[in-house]
Amino acid sequence: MKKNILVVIIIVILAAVAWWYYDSNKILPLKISATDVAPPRLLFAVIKENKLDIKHGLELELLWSPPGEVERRLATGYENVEIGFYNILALINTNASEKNDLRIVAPAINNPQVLIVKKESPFKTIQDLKGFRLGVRPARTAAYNAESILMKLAGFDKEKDFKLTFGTPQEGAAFLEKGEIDSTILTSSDAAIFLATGKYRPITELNDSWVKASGAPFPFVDFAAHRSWINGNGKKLERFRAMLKEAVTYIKNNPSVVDEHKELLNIKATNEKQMESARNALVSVFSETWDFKSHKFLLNKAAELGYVGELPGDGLFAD
Amino acid sequence: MSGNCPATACLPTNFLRQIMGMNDIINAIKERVGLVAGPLLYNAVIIVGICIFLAAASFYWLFPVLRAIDQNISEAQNIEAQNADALLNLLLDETFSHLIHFGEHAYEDRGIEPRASVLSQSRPDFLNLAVFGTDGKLSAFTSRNGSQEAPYKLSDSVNSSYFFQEAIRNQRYIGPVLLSAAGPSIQIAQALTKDGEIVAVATSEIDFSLLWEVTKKIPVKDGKIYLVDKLGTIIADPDIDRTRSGENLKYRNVVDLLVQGKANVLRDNYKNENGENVLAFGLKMQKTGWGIVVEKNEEKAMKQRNDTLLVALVFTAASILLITLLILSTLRLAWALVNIDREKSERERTIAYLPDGVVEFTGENRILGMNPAAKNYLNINQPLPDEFYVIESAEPVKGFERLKKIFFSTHKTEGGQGSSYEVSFDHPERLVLQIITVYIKGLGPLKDQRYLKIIHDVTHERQL
Repeated sequence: MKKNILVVIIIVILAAVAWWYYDSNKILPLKISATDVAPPRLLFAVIKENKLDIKHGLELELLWSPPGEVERRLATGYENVEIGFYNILALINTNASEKNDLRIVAPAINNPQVLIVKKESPFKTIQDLKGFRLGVRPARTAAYNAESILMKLAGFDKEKDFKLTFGTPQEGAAFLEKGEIDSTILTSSDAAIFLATGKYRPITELNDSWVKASGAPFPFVDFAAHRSWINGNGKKLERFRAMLKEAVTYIKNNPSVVDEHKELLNIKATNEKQMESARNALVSVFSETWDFKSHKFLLNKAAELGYVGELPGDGLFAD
Repeated sequence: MSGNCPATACLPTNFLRQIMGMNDIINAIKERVGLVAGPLLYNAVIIVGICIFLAAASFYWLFPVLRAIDQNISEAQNIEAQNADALLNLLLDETFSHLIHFGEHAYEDRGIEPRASVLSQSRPDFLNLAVFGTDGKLSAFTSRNGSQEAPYKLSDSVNSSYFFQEAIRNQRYIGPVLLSAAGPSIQIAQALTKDGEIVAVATSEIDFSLLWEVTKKIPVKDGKIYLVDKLGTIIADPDIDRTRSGENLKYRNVVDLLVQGKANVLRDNYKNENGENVLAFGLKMQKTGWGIVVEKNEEKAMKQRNDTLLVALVFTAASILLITLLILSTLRLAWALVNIDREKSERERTIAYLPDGVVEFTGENRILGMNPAAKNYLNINQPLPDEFYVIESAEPVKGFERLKKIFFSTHKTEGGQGSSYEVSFDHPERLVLQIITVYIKGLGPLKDQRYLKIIHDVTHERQL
């Protein structure tokens, strides 16, 4: 009798171990709404090429779209997107206006904003550009909010001091190239790519004033998900975070990945100096850890300047 | 069922055949399919016919009507889009014509300042005006308030600017919409010609509010018009906040197709920014590359279609009810026929084993059938011929002599439903038969009247 009980216990234990092994090694699909700009392209290229997603038990499906559309896709649940890039201010506004319950789940990109002008143009400072034509991202996008706050910090009102035209970073660059605008605001990583062509020049006041005020890099976008999804997909989220951390560490330890993906990132550097500038700009935007200080500073500043309504209490960041 | 029964045992079946007027074809069908014949076949044909009729009605009536309604909706949206296109083109043509007019004066005067007041009085939407030589050098400039910034003032030449390159190729240039505290504006440019030669390029920044207003001016019942630029970015919407959002609407199929260069998009369905389901029609403006989208509340736009569908639905429901009733009636009829057949079989069995003879005939004396006892009494040893009549004046058919005798005997006693009489035969042995004639159906034409002759052997009684 005792022998039989022992056999049963052993079978149960073996079945539990087999189940545990199967469950922890099962590849889970994960659909991500990703912005079609350089840093996410680089990040996910590194993940895919090194099979970091498979290593962490995930199979990523990436839906690429321009800024603005990325947020819309996650907020509306387009094609059952699970995780997406989202600016924290846009997220607060989306939650407030569209009765969503989005939460930040992981840090993504700390990307300073840079004004780009043609190399031969007479504009040297933001003040010089006052009253002139400026290419910006569509309203309500992460970039638009970031641009507005940074402009305010630098002492300008984007909507009052400039003539704005909207478009993606690429469209902004094309407008600038054709002389249809006088400057465009880009993230430092996008700017690095355009600067690498040698035809443009940066005006870095926006980032300078931010760093001076906050003492931290600008938290441009994070990864976000709906709370209902977070509650039901703890394991997936855990794996996603681990995968992300490993990918960012890999990029930081191997900056040459930027060179390897020169074509993918559309970097047209003609000399090592330009390439180095693009490489440094791209690698520096990734964050391995949360920077709550900069997020908090951004939230308070946004509330102070009226870019968000009432700040939500705890719980904006998923555990 | 009756096809398997002997001819003499199928009296009621034959009777039914006559009443129902079945023809050979139906009988042939009945032979093959059994019960589904006669009235059942008619019912089945009617049901199938109604189904075909309904399908045909849908095909020839409902679908074309629905298509026509859809076309009407698209046509109405097309007209509204064309109106917006015409109005925008009119405004733009007028604006370009003024640009050329003022540009030419500026070019000829080599200095525009004296004309600035004329410009601001006649076209207050012209924020500034600049004229460049073909070398790209600024030759004249004025602005409405005198302090308007113009980027081309800061460089020696605009040779590399897209507006100049377009204008110098004799193309109209319309730049992207710019938003500022003063309102929306666009830059336009066009070449100035003299004796067919391009001599200069005129450019101006125009207050876009007037064009913006077009979206408000064109009435769209239960909807609105909005404009997108070549890239799909919203540039005009009745809702000013949306216009200022700079949102790219390429995620809407209608906008995406217009951006790709499609001349028009007849139909797109989506949920708009207010969460409203809408039908959209898109038209690409050939002169500017912008897209005009006419958006209508789907429920209201489709009301006529939905009403028609409702009528069709009611009609279909009534038809289904009718078909159901017909199927039920057919089933009841089939059940009744089964019962009749069962009763017939029982009656035939009873008649077949009756000791008395029974002969069924019509008012015209056409023999329809007889049971074995009757054949025995009448000494008939062969099958009954088809269309067999017993005629008094004719010679009796061989083998049916006794049959004629029982029909035309002189000893008759009238009474009841018919008559009773006796007929005797001496060969081969004496036989006295009592014949009682009764009618089953005595009304109507002779061919439809039905009678029976009951033949009872009374030989033994008469010998006593």
